Formats: sequence, C-alpha cells, structure tokens
Amino acid sequence: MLRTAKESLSQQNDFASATSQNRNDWIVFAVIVSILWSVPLSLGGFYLYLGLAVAIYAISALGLQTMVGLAGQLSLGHAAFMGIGAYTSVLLQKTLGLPFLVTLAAAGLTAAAAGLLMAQLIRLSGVYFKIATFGFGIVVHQILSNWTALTGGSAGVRGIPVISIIGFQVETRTGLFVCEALTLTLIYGLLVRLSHGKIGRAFRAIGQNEAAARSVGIPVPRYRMIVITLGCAIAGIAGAYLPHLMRFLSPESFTWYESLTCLIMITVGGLGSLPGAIIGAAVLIVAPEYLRDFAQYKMLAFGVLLVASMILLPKGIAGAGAALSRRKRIHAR
Amino acid sequence: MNLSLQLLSGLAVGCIYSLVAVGFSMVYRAMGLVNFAQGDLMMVGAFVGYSIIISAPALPFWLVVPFAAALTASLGYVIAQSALWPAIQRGASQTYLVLLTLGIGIVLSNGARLIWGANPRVYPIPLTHETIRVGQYPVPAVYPLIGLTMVVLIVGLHLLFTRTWLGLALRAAADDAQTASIMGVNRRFASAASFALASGIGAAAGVLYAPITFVSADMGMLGIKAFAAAVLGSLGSIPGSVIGGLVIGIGETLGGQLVSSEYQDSLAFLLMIGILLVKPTGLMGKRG
Repeated sequence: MLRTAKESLSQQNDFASATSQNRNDWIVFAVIVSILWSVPLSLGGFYLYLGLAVAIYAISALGLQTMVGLAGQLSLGHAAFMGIGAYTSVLLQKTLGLPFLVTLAAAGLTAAAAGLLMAQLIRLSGVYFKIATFGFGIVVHQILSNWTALTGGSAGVRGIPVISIIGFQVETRTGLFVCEALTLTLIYGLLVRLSHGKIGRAFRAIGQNEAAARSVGIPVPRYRMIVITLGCAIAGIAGAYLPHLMRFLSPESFTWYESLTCLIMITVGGLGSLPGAIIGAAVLIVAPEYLRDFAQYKMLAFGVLLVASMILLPKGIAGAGAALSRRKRIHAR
Repeated sequence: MNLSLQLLSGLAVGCIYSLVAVGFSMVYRAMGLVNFAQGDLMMVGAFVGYSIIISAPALPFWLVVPFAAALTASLGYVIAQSALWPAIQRGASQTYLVLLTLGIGIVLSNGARLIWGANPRVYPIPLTHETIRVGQYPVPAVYPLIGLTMVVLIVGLHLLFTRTWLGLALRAAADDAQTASIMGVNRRFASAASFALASGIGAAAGVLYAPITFVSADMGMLGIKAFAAAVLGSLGSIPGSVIGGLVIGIGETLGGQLVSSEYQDSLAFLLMIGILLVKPTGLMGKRG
C-alpha cells in the first residue's frame, strides 16, 4: 500500500517535472564528462589506454542506445557499421592522404549511407527487420574479410597513418584521447539535447508504442529511418578511432560477437539511458582487463551478466541509480 | 564436381536447417519470441550426443538421436520455466526478449566450451567416414539417415499437432492463450513444452549434422542460417520452415559453387532479404 502510494507519487513527480528531468540529465552529463576528462588523463599509462578503448565503445554504444533504447529499433549488426567507419577512414587516409577530420566525417557519412540502405528494410516489420539487421552485419563482415583487393582481407591493414588535424600531428596517446573525449562529449551533448527536443520525444514515442505514435501524427517510417541512420553514423565515427588505438585493423574487430557486446553494454548500463550506455561501455571494457586470468570465461561472464541484468535489473545500472536517488528524495520529503 | 552431387549435399544440409527452423517457428508461435538460443541448443544436443557415444560406444547411432534429444529437451524445459516464463508473464518487450535469448545463447555456447573444451570434436563412430554409392559417386552414409529422420520428425509433429490432446492444447495456447487457459490449458506448461520440443528437435538435428562436420562450441552459428530459413518460409509455419530450410541449403550450396564459397553465409541472408522484399511475410505467409 505504502509502496504503491510512493510509486504514484514518484510518477506524478515525473509528469510534473519534465524540466527537472531535463536539468537532471544535464547534471549527469556534467558529472560523466568531468570524470571522462579528469580520470584517464591524470592516471595516465594503462588507464589512459583503457580510457581510449572505453571512449570508442561509449560513442558506439551511444549510437546503439539511441536506436535501441530510445526508439526501439533493435539492431543486431552494430559492429558492422563501426567496421565500415574504420575501413573508410583508414583507407582514405592511406590511399588519398586525406586529413583525419575529413576521413572522420567520411566515416560517419559512409556508415550513415549504409545505415540508410539498411533502413530501407524497415518495410519488413517487427521480427523480420531484426533478422535483416543481423544478416546485414554478416554480409558486411564477409565483405570486409574477403574483398582482399580493397580491405586486405582477413590479414588486415597494417601501418595505420598518424592522425593529423590542421597541421598538428597527434602522435601520443594523450593527444588521441583528447580527440576521442572531444568527440564523445560533443556527441553525448548533442544526443542529450536531441532527446529533450521534438525529435527525441518522437523517438521515445515510437520506442514505447509504434501504433500510438502513429495515431498522434508522428510520421513513424521517416523517424525510424532517421534514427537508424543516426545510430549507424555514430557507430561509423566511433569505428574511425579504433584502428588508431589498435595500430592495426582487421575484420575480426567487427564480428557478430562485437555487435552482441555493444548490445550487452547498453543493456547492462540500462536500456533507454544515455549515461547508461557510457557506464555499460566502461564496465564491459574495464572489467575484462582486470580479470585477464579468467579470459576464457569472458563471454560466459558477459552472457551471465546479460541474463542476470535482464532478470534482476531490467533498467540496468543507470535505472537502479535513478530509482535509488528518487527513493532518497521521497524519503527526504 | 557434379551438379547432382552438389544438389544432394545442399539437400542434406537443408534438412538440418529445416529441423532447426521448425524449432524457431514453434517457439515463435507458442511464446511469441524469437529464440536466438535455438542454434546453441542444437550445439548442446550435438555435444550431448558426443558424450553419449563416448560413454556407451555399443549404442547404435540411431538410438543416440532420441537420447540426446530427450536430454536437451529437458534442458530446454528448465530454461523456459526459469528464465523465459517470468519475462513473458511480465509482458516484456520484443527487444528485451531477444536480448534475453541472446544472453542464454552466449551462456550455452561458452558453457559448452568449458565442459567439452575449445577444440572441435569428431564423433568417433564409423558413420563419420563411411560412404555409400549413389550412381557412381560416393556420398556420406549419414545422408539417408538425415532425410529419414527429418521425414519421421515432421510426420510425427504433424500427428502430434493434429491427433493428440497435447498437440491441440499447444496449438490452442499458441493461437489464443487467454481462451486456451479458460479451457483448462496451462499456459506456462504449454509454452515450456513447446520450447522443450523445439530444443529436442534442434538436438536431433545437431546429432545428425555432427558426422558430416565436427562438433564445436561455435556450431550454434549455423542456427542463424536456420533462422533465415524460418523467416524465409514465414516464421510460425512448420511447412514454411521446411521449405525455407531446403531453399537456403540448396541455394547456398549452388550459389557458393557459382559465386564463391567465402560468401556462403552472405548468400543465405541475401536470399532471405530478397525473398522478403518480394513477399514480406515469407513464402508461406498469408497476405497482410
């Protein structure tokens, strides 16, 4: 009885305070961004390397979260779009010698174009679309591994060029991290902004109930295409950084398992929560590094983590955190 | 290589896809979820078959199939009861259910890697290497067994669904769970039984597939192509799944021969996407 009263109170709270929700999101944004800019840079060394990996996957997970968590468009081939971005950027740098900012944009655009191509399949409703995204991922991976003339095949690409931005050569990890952190901050900020605007509300409405969204006049197919293209473009941008971290590029970084890992990141962090995507990426990148002795159990642990978080924490770490803070607020009253 | 020989091997692999696809379809109809763990259940079945062969070498191969199927079916029953039912009862979203079955699939395939090791296993039975002659060409001796099992299983399923009370209850629960539960069908049992049945069929497919190839923890990836088969023949329809499996099996073997064998997996999916674009509900789908 008490519990339901509390819940309804907190629900009223939610309705009444769209603006306070907005403010909360920006507070969380500020906290996460300040951690991002301070922790890896001040600790340095191995932590900097971890920070580099986390930032790349956090960007990618943000893209996936927008598609899956917000707009409910499940993609089972997310890593493929990271791969498209990575190969586009590196090959343009190597063969044409284009500056990194141009190739980064090209990576985003190519991945967006591929995403738009995949988005044409939304005519296949529901389950069929999900399986088509899976097939898309497989097709891209096979092209990357077998089109040897273009991609170097499964042997991969070596000799990744150094990033140069308007004349500056980014040779250190610190420099690379600054680039990544800037990109992450920018994309995260834009997505928070977007999620509170008209487009973000439309995405959420589609994610919650497509038929209802259509009935209130939201052009559902167009928004679905927009969100899929957007999510894939973000994955492409994230992918463009990956070869610079690994100093090597191979199709094995973009398999079905990687797509799955991205999905686990956003689920563990909390479906529908942007900070959740970043937290999930951090957990899934950092934890295995400290559990190297148990490397053979890595995927098993990921699977258990996924099932357990789905059953025990349906809203993920971010959702649990939000519920905790809400409960505190009600108690304080 | 001879074309008819290619056709024959495509047909055999197609039968395996069909059986796994039937499992997909049954679970989809009964529980309304896309079971991404189906391929991994097939893999578990193949490993269970391996363990049975190791521990009881005297057992004839055709008896290994039902034993492995029964054991895997009970595993499927436990999974459905413990992990899937709470989520379905809560009315969880499709995205959630897909992620849940994906998670179960990861646990199964990596659990199998821990139990049976990372190295691929070969069934230590003569059937693995035996061939029979069809015309003047040698053909793996397990092919007729695959065809026979598939026919028996499909006929058996048909009889189960049309002639028995259990089958009627399962169909009723799949079509309209609410009404069926008013009529005394236990929804929870019906969905778990369907899941178990699908797991058992998958396991039979795994055991039969093992002599053509080897058993490894990554074998579940084959399930993904079976998935394309189920979708292509319209998800939820058993005859559709059978046809879809054969189309994918023959299509990818012939296509791999004509284009390049590296792109075999892609061919299966391009075939699926192509057919879906022409006929959005699959080959056996109803209009609208």
